[in-house]
This record gives sequence, C-alpha cells and structure tokens, in this order.
Amino acid sequence: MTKKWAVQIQQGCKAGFPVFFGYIPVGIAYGMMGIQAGMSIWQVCALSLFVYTGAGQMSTAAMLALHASVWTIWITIFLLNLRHIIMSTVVMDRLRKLPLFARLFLAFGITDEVFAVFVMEDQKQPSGWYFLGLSLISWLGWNIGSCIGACSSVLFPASVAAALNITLYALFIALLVPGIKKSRRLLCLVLLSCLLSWLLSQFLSSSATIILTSLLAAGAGTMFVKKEDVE
Amino acid sequence: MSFTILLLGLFLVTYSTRALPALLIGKVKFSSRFQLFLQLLPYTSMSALVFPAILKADSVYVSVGLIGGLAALAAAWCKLPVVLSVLLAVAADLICYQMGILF
Repeated sequence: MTKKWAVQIQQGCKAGFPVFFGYIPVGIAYGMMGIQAGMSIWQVCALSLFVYTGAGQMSTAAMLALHASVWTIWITIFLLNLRHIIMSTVVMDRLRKLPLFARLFLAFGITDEVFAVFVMEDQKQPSGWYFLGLSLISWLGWNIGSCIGACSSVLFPASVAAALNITLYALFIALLVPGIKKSRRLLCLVLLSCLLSWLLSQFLSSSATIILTSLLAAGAGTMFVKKEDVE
Repeated sequence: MSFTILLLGLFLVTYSTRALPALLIGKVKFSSRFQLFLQLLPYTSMSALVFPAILKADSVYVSVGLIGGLAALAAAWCKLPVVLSVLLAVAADLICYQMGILF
C-alpha cells in the first residue's frame, strides 16, 4: 500500500508539471542574461537555488549590467517581491494546521505560478505534502532552466545574445497585459507609472526612478483602482 | 565576497516576504487599502522597469526595444502563453538585427 503522503506529493508534482515546463525556457533566458551581465555560471545557479524569484533574478542581472549598487538591487527586488506577502497569506491560511517549522519551510516555494496553481486546485483539504510536491517540481524546473541557460550562452552567436536583451521587458509586458486588458483602471495605473518613471528618469538615476515610481504610483493607485481589478 | 553579500541580501528580501505570513498567520490583518497597495506594487514596479528602459534595450538603436516590446504586447494581447510572448519578442529582435531594421 502506498503511503498517503507519497500520493499527495505525487498529486502535487502532477499539478506542477505545467509550471515546470513553463519555467525551463524562462530559466534559460535568465541564465543567458546572467552570463551576459558578467555573472559566473555558479553565481547564476546560486541565485536560482537560494533566492528563487524569476522576475527578481532577471532584474538583478539587468541591474548588475548597469552597475547598480547593492542597496538599489536589494530595495528594488524587495519591492518587486512584496506581492508575495499577499500570496503567502492566502497559502498559509490554507495550511494553518501545519506546525510552524513546516510552514516556514514551505514558504520558500511560493511563486506567482505556484500560488496560481495552488489556489485554482479546489482541494477540500489542502495538504502540506501536496504543496511540497507542487513547489518542488516548479523549483526544479527553474533550476534546470537556469543551468542550461548559463552553460549554453557560449554556444549562441552574438546576434542571439543581443536579441535576448529584450527578454526581461517582454516578460514584464506579458505579465502586465492580462490585467490591463481586463481593467481600464489598471491600464491607467500602468500608463501613469510609465509617465512618472519617464519624468523622474530625467532628473534621477534609473534605480531611484524605479523605486520612487513603484511607491508613488501604487499609492496613487489605491485611490482609483478597485479591489476586484487585481483579483 | 561581494557576490555572497548580494546573494545573502537577495535571499533575505525574497524569503522574508514569503515567510512573514507563515509566522503571523491569524495574528495580523492588513487594512484593505494596504492590501491593495501591495497588490498594485508589481504593476507599478514592472511598468517602471520596462519604461523608458526598454528604449535602450540596444544601446544605439531605439527600434530594437520598440519592435521587441510591440511583439510581446501583441502576443500577450492574443492570450498566448507568457513563454511564447517572450520567445516571439526575441525572434522579432533577431529579425531586426538580421534584416537591419535599425533606427
């Protein structure tokens, strides 16, 4: 007889397959970006293993290429990651029966995609084992992709490497589009952010621009964006 | 050495946002306005990261960022998966470079 927890891990892995296959190509793009930004293969992989935040790692690579300061990188990534507080709150609410150490361990695996799969899966009794399987397979996909990307950048010609500069921007645009398509108010917020960041970039460094724009525009957004726009 | 510090800091700023709710679940409730603020941050920070920096995706030619960005926008608008949108943008820029669509 198979153990109950083994079955639940298996179910989690199965639910995580789309995330796994989605993370590999994005991981490859990140790996190549990282090498281009001057990181070593080990450094590229270490970020994926221990930090594990896709958009954040790409932004890190982009900012390293711009010779941004360490503090700037930390603050920007922190702001970019603040959304995880919301996602983690929802996940942890469903896993509240687990002991604290288990919750703290599982928290490492929360990403936008894992969160989306976990909340969509309408489980009567969501278990920690299920979440473990789901997040483990996703984490593996990201790391396999990063490793391939970091090792393969030498194989590609310069024009491919140059074209890859668009990756991060394309990723962010693709993530923004569903929201702005659904809600005019979010479209206004995005346009406001772009305008503000363009204005500020005339006077401030690119890092200060990103941090200030994020905070000011989100603050302004709370006055006109509705809760249902972001759900 | 400095990379280790960067890595450590990045781990902290990433893990803390995930671990905080695991610690505090059931103890703290954010106001709904602050929740909205947190949810809007990704939109505003991603927008700020994209614009106007995308215009300098190539250090000389604006067209590279412009065409790549439009390709991603069009693909995502047609509800293609995120991965495909990214790949199409890269393909569009490759075509730019190969055919010399540079201005």
